[in-house]
Amino acid sequence: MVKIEGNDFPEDLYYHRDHMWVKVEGDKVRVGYNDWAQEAAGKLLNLNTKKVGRSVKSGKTLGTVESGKWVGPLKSPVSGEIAEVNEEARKEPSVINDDPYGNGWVAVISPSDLEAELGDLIKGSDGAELESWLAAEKAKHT
Amino acid sequence: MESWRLLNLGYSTPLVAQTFYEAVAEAVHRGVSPNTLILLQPDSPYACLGYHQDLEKEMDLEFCEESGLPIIRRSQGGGATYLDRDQVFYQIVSRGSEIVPRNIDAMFERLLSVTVETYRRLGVPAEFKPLNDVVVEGRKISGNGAGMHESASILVGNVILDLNYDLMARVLRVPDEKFRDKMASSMREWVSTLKRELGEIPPVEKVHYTYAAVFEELLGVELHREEPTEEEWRIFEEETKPRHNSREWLYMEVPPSQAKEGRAVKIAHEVKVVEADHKAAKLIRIRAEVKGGEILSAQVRGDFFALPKEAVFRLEEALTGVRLEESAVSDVVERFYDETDVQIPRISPGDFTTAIMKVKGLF
Repeated sequence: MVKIEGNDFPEDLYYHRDHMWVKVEGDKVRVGYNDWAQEAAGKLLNLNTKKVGRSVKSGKTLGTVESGKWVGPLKSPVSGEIAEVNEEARKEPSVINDDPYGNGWVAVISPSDLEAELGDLIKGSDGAELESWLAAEKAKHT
Repeated sequence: MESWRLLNLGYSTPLVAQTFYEAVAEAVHRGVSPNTLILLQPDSPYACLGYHQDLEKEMDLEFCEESGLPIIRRSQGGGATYLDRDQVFYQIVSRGSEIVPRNIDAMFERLLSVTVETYRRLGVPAEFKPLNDVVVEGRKISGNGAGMHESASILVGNVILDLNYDLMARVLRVPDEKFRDKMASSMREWVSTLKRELGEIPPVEKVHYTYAAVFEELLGVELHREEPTEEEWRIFEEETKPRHNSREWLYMEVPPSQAKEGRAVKIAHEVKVVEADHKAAKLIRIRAEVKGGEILSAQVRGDFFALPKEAVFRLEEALTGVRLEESAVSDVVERFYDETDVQIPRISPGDFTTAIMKVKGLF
């Protein structure tokens, strides 16, 4: 587990610059909201996602989240078709705050161009790259 | 020092008042418009729904239709409300600005400091209340919501000159008129206005001037008065307006987090009026006004039969001021049984505790 300024970034995941994580599971990927983003958003009250069967594109809308009075987009980290969405998280979105890489996953996607797109993501094992990306994000926003 | 644009759109139609900033956000995202502060007022009344809210659950659609009140689902968070000419809107749209933190709590705190100082200069001792409220002596005095449009950050809110409390309560869907009355009286108690605080409404121009001056001073930006660009009006006409006029948008399917049983209406910072049902062998219905974790007042009804009948009023009285914690609630219920010797067939003290604790689930 990589810990960057207090936030967790597990090494076996990939990270999209719009604050989504990707876990490769056979021919599918599981995706979610990263630890830094959930903390920046605050306690989540709503999670809405596109439906199972709908297609998504990397960097385009997968859904929306709401913490008290703030609505933010969830961007899909890969292109493909939504195979599953986390109904428990849709009912109780604060599970994303409690366990962003476990029970707080958002969706499972059947990717259409995974090999090429993984190349655009930051590898969790690349601590230096993760750190410099997150430092730049924080510099922009604090 | 950052240079920002000021758009003062004056009195605008409800759709422009509530959604034009989305077109500005799209233009800001595309990099063709600068960071912008918009000031305006709606020129006529409308009802407004939070982005993730369930239209039919929140709004009294029949009333809105009969009264010709448009309903707009805003793209920002927060709850259902009624708006009219007596609120001055500020809409802050930016991208990559150093004065707008990405951390949401920090963003609200910094941008709402402008609202707080504006009220103070108008003569009202307003304060920021974490996470995102502006209050005067504990009462709400400004409504706010925020969000992201692609790379653009948005905060919208209002300076409340005056408020039509009755219409505010009237546009919302409620279980019955008693609930509505409770809601209206709670709004009167917990939401204030410049008119109430000052005894009169200051001129709209003075509110604009004060807000813009404070915005420049506190945030360290320079505002330049301009008009919207042709590109922004084009985005508004071709993208924003059709989206908001579509049935898909207004009747948007909402997440199951909105589908909780019972009814809860947020009145102000930490204050809600709620109704929760517990179906034991008989129905127990609790209505309560709650602030933070504390019951301000409660009503206990249902189809159970209590002997003596008046005993239930003792329970209602005893619930005032009680914290919504299982042990505290069950103590009150036990004491109520002990002190009144009440007989309630097929209902146990535990059923009352469960019913009352359901209120907490709606908070």
